[in-house]
Amino acid sequence: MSSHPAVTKGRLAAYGIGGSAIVVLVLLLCIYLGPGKPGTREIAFGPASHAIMTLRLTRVGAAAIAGAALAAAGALLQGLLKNPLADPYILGLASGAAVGVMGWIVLTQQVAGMAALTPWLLAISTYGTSLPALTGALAACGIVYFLARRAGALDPLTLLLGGVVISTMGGAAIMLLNNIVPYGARADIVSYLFGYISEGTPAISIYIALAVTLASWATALATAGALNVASLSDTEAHSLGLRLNRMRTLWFIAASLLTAAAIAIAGPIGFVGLICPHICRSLFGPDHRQLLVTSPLTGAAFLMLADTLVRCTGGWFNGQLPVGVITALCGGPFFLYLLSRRPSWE
Amino acid sequence: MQTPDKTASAPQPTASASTLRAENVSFAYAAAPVLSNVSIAPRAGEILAIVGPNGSGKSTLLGTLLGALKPTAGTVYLADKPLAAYPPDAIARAIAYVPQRPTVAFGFTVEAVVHMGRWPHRGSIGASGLLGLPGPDDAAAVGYALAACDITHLAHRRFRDLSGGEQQRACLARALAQQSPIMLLDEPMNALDLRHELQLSHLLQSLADSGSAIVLVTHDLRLAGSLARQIALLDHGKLMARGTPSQVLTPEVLEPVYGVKVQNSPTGLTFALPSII
Repeated sequence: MSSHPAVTKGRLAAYGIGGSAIVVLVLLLCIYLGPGKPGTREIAFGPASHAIMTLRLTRVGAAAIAGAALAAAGALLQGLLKNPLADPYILGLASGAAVGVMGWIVLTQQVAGMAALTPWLLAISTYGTSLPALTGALAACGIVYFLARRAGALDPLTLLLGGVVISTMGGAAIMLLNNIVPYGARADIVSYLFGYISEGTPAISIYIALAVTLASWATALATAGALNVASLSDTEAHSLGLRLNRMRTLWFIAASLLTAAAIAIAGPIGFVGLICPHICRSLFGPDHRQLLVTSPLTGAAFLMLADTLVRCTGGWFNGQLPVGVITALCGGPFFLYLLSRRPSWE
Repeated sequence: MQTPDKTASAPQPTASASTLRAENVSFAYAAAPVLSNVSIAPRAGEILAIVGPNGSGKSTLLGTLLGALKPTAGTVYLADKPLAAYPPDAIARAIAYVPQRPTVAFGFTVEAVVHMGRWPHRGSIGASGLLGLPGPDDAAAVGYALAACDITHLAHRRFRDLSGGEQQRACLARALAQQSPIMLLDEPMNALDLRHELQLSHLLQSLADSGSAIVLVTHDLRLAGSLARQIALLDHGKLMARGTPSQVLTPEVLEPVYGVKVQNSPTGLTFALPSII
């Protein structure tokens, strides 16, 4: 079977510019869509309209950042583990971040009455859930990393198995924490665990997530050629001069940071990190230099559209659905279609 | 496969860079010794064959020569400096490697796999631009390597869709594209048909004639005898014999190592189980 054309500077630039243009168009569309439009009976032009648009921009922007971060993390992890089924969930990074956020919610509720701690907690709370998510994801990353680092080498299979164990333990810890919080808060937490993007996300959280995403994405892009070489066996990659352990460590940390950035502002949303790299690999080929340009842009557009669907269909359900329900319900069948069309481990 | 064109993009080994030698190298996996005190020195312009029974440590020796395995004792030298003193990309520019069983994850094309051989010359953010995109030199080297291995027509096929022999030739092309003056090959003839085996033999001979040092691990004693100028015979991790084919491929040397009867006949060596003769 013949394959996709070789990567060139022109092709990369075309994908980058074209993809960014599509993301900007989708962003504008998603800000425009929603219950009530400026200039209509529901929302007149003026300060109220401006305020609503700002809230929407916050939410749509958060969706774009989280989508891009999850898709970039997925592409990195699939390349790093040489496994097309890898995503932030499978390595326990997502559940680690979710445990961090859950732990934070429980902590703030349990000790809110303790006067001495309150000012300290309030100060940290201005950073929203970014820091707990980051801490949780990095803790999971650290445990899995040290488990997998056997005899000085980072073994992808042990990384994967360690991730599955940490992920399962994270699920148990989340249930444990869920039983500690009062009944009233549980519905919110269940909703959060399926992914929830809020208009009220603190600006500082969005800026932190954006900065972490851009830095990690740039690192991934700059080393994407090495990720191609890492698709060979370890001995072959070594024989081509790749410092495999160093690069795997770098990619693993970058993927963890991307996952934490996404979860901090959007909760643990499934399928984006798995499906976007698959779609892009199927459309543009397996080269990671292209994949790490196209996949995050696809993830951004996909999650903005999915979250807009959630906003627009809020009236159909008993409140807005968690966006993770949409990504799984849309992404799952599409993924199955891809699997049936051709072997997608390519 | 074609005879390498020495004027175009053929490897240009330098005398100093192509001296690789293992001195009293030992290696053990956990507590199990695999190599004990092995010394070999492939020379520029020669093919050195490493032969021996299954599990004798041939591939492990190749791994230590490549720097992928760190000797538990002894030292591997490249141009009179310990191999460990070089950064990995500098080693890759000096030593190319063809594995016994190539592995490529995802659906990379043959051309993309051969382009990976240019990695040590480009790096991540190299002279040819951000992301290590190929430059004109890279395209020329890859074109030469594809033609030399008779796989230009397969360039746009996916590597994993190829037969074992075609994959082996693609890996050889990647090693050629690497343009390293030393080439280590682990059982490269295993999956090749007769025609491509002869073509590869011819190609390796041409590379050696143009100044490359070739180390060839093989279980095929006849091939080693016809191709190599030097043969190293390993058994249970120990170097049992080293010398020219006429010195090593004799009944006296081979019989105790392989446990078979060896006879010289007009057509070459013949082998039989002891009970049959």
